[in-house]
Amino acid sequence: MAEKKQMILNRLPAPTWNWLRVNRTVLDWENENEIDLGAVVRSVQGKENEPLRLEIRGEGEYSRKDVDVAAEPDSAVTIIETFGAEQNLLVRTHLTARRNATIRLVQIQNTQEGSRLVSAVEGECEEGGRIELYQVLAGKGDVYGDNKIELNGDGASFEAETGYLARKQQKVDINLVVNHRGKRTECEINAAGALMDAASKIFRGTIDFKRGASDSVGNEKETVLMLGDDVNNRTVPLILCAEENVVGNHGASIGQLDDETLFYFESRGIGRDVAEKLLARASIERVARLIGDEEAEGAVMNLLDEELGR
Amino acid sequence: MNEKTRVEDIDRSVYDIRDEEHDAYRMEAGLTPEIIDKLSKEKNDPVWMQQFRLQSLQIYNEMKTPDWGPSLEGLDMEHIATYVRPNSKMQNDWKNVPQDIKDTFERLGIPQAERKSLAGVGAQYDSELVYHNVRREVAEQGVVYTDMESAMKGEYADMVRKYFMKLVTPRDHKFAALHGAVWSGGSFVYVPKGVQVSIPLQSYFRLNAKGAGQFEHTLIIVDEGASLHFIEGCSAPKYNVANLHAGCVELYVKKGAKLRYSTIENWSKNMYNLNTKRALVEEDGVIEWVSGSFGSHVGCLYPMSVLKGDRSRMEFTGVTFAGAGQNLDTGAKVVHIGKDTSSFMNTRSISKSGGISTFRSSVVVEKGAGGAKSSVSCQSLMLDSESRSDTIPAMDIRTRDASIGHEAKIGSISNDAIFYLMSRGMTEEDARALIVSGFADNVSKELPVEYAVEMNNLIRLEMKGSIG
Repeated sequence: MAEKKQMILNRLPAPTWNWLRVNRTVLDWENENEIDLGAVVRSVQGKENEPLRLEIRGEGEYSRKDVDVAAEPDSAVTIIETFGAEQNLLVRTHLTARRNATIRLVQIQNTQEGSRLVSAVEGECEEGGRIELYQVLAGKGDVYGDNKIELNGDGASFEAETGYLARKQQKVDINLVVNHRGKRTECEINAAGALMDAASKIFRGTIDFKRGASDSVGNEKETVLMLGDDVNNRTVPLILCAEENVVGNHGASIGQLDDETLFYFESRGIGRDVAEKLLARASIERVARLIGDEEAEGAVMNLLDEELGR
Repeated sequence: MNEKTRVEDIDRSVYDIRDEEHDAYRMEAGLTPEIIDKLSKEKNDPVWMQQFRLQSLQIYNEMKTPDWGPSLEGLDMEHIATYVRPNSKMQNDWKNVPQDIKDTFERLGIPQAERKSLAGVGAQYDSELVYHNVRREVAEQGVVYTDMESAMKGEYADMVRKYFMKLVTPRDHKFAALHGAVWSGGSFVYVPKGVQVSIPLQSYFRLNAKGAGQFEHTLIIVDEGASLHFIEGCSAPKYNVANLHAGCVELYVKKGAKLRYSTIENWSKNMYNLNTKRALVEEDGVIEWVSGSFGSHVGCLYPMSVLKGDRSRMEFTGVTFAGAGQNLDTGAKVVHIGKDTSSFMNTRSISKSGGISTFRSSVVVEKGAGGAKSSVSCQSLMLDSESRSDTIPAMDIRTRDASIGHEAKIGSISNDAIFYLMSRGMTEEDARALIVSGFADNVSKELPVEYAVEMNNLIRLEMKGSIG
C-alpha cells in the first residue's frame, strides 16, 4: 500500500493563535500512485472570443491535473474549469497576465459526495494585467482552495467572486492571498455562501500591501448564511500593510435569516424553509450571472436546481 | 509637494527618570527550582503556593514559546532577575514611603490623583507594593482592597486559594506558567453584593530595577449586583537591557455586576510586556475594558472575556500607538457561552517611524450560545512607509443563532472628510487636526478626565500640511 504523505496547504501568511485551527490545513494525500491527468499549456495572443473549457474529472483514487495559461500583452481569455470527482483530485492552475492582459478563470465545483477536491490557483499580473476569479462551489464533496495572486506590475488588478453552498458534513476550506506589489494595484474580494446541516467552512482572505504598493486599494467582503443546527463557520479576513499610502477595507457578516427578512418572505406567502433555500441559491446565482457565459451559467443553474429544487 | 503631517513621539521625560537602586534584596537572574524555592521562602508563602510555584516552573520548562506574533528572541530569562524587593515595607501613608520612591510616584501624579479622585491606591515598586490605602468610607461598605500577599495569608486566604490562577492557568501559555512560578505583588479586590463603588480604585506599577521582571497578580471579584471601576497604570525608565512584565489579571464579574477595567500602559522601550488578562462574566454581568497601549519594546496583550452567563456582555475599547523600535501586538478575545450574550470591540491604532502595530482578535461563539451578537471594528492609521500595520481577526461561529459583524479599515485620512470640514469654514490644517486628534478619542472619552488628559498628553499631534 502506498504511503500517505501529508499535504500542507492554505497557510495563513501571518499566523495567529494555534487553538483557532486556522493557521493551515493538513491533509493526508497519496502522491506515489497519483494519476497524472496531463497538463494543459496555452499561450494566448489577442482577444479570444471562445472560452477555453476544461472538464476535469478525476481518475482512480488520487489524480492530478495541471493547467498553465499565459496571456500575452493586450490579450484576453476566459477559462472555464468544471470539476467532477468521485475521489481525490488535485488541480493546479497557473495564470500569467502580461501587460494589459485579462484572464477570467471560472471554476465550477460539481464533485461527488465523499470526494476531495484540492484546487491551487497561482496568478501573476504584470503592468495593467488583470485576473478575475469566479468560483462556484456547489458540489457535494469537500473542497480545498489554495489561491495566491501576485499583483506585480503597476496598475494590476484582481477580482474574486466566490459563492458556496455546503451541506451535510461537507467541508469548504478556502485560502485567498493577494499580494500588492506594484503601485496603483487594486483587488476586490467578495465571498458569500450558505452552510446547511453540519457543514463547516473556513474562509481566509488576505490583502497584503507590500512596501512600494502606494496608491493601492484592497476591499474584501464576506457574507455567511448559517442555516444548519450543527454548522461551523470560521472567517479570517487579514489586512497586512507595509505601505502608508493605501486603502484597505474588510467586512464580514455572519448569521441566519433575520426576523425582518423572514417577515418579508412570510408576508408574501413564503415560509422559512423556502426562504432559506432562495437566499442560499441567491449567493451562487449572483456569481453565475457574473461569469458572462451562457453555457456555464446554465450549468450552474442546473446544479442549483438539482441541489435546492426550483 | 505637501508636507506630511507629523505625529510627535510620545514625551517620556517624566517616565525615564531612574532612581538609584537601593534594593533590600535582588534575586539572582535565571529560573531554577532553587531560585523558586528561595523566592517562596522570601515571601513566606503558604505550602500550597510554594508547591504551585514549583509545578508552574515545570510547566514553563515543558512549554514552547509561541510560534506566532512578535519575536521574543531578545528576551533571555537567564539575565532577568525575577524578584527585586525595594528597601521599604508597604505603607498606608505616603509620609512613610522612602523619599526617592515617593518622589517617583509624585512625579507620576499618583498621590495627587489619590487625593482628588480615587477611592484607593496600590503602588508597586519593582516586585513589592510600597503603598496601599483605601478610603475609609469605601472600606466601611465592605470593599476589600489589599495587596495579594496579605490577602493570601489573612482572612481572605480561602477566597484567594479558590480563585487564584483558575481563570488563567499555568497551562494557558508559557508566560502564564512563568507568572505562576515567580509572581509577586499585585492587588486583591472584593466588592460585596449590591455595593456600587462610585469612584475608581487604582493600582500603579513602576519597575525601576534594570534587567528585572515584574509579575504582579491582580484578582478582582465583583459580587452580585455590585459595580467597580479599576484603573491600572504602569511605567519604567529605559535601559539598554531587556526588562520583562508578565503580570496576570483575573476578573470575576458575578451575576448582575459590572466592572470597568482601564489600563494606560506606558512601559519603556526595552520592556517585553507579556501580560495576560481574563474576565469571567456571569448572568447579566458586564465587563468593560478600556486600554491605551503606548509603551514597551514588544507587547502582547489580548484581554479575554468569557461570557458564561446568559445576557452577559463585553465591551472593549482600545488604542495602540507604536513608534520607533516598538512591536505592539494587541487586541482582544471573547468566548460566547451563555444565551443572548453580546460583545463589542472598537480599536484604533497608529504606527509611525518604523513601529509595528498588530490588531489581533478572536470571537468564538459556542454551539449553545443562541442569540449571540458580536461586533468588531478596528481602524488603523499608518503615517509613513517605514512602519507596519496588520489586522489579524478571526471568527469561529458554531451556532446558526448568532449575529456577527466585523469591519476593519486601514489608510490615511479621508479627503472627503477634510473637504466636508473645509466647506464649513475650517482651514485644512484645523480640519486635519480635528480628525487626527479625534482618532484616538475612543479611549480617552471612556476614562476619568484626569486620565484622559494624561493620555492626550502622551500623544501630541503636530499638524503640518497633509497626511498621505
